Amino acid sequence: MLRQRVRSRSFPLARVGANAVVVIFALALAWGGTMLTLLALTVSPSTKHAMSG
Amino acid sequence: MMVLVARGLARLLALLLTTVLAVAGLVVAVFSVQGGSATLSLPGLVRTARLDDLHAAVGGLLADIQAGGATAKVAALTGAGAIVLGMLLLFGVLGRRRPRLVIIKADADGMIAARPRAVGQAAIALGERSRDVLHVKAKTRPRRRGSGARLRLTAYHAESTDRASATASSRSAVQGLAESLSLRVRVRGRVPRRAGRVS
Repeated sequence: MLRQRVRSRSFPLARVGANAVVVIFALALAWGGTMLTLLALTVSPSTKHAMSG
Repeated sequence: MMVLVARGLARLLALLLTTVLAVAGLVVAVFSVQGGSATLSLPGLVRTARLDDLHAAVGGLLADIQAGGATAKVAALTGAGAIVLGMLLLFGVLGRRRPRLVIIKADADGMIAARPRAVGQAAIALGERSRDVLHVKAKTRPRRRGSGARLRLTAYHAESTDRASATASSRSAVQGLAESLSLRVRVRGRVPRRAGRVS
């Protein structure tokens, strides 16, 4: 009788690394979107500087 | 066997290629951090990537956005879309996914689990054995942690049948399954909308 071994979990370090890359990209995307929206809404420069750090 | 060898070879080659690519990128980056007019230098990279043209183009675009009008509206919408997309990505990565399997037993030797649909179908088969019940629907939701699941059964019964007896008989029918798979069972009785049509 053939018994198949199924690997149901991936290498944890690879998963954490891939997730970290996506999190950094997502934060950058949200930050860029916020800055673009603030610029388009003509928010005062002081507020933009305060939000962008 | 041949497929296994080919797959192993492909994985090895992919690992080698990505390693070579990473090392080459590192070498280019290290050699690029210098002045002068060589190809691998900061001014050379600026020329290659035409960053001065890009700077002028982005500056013009930002001035247009700040001036208001249609460009600003499109930019505001694009920015809002970027924020939503970023939040969606964060939710996708950090949000906890509901487990897809009902864990029956898990220890150091491994795990025994069942698919929720199969558990639901077993519960339906057992629940429909009762004479008081016309048809049963099941919804199985595996627990986030530990073994077991929540099983929600809907027992459809005739109008002439007592609801309490229908639910009780369905519950007792799946009792054994619930105990063996650590299921928390919730049964509700319902009369089908039209006589004879329950699905």
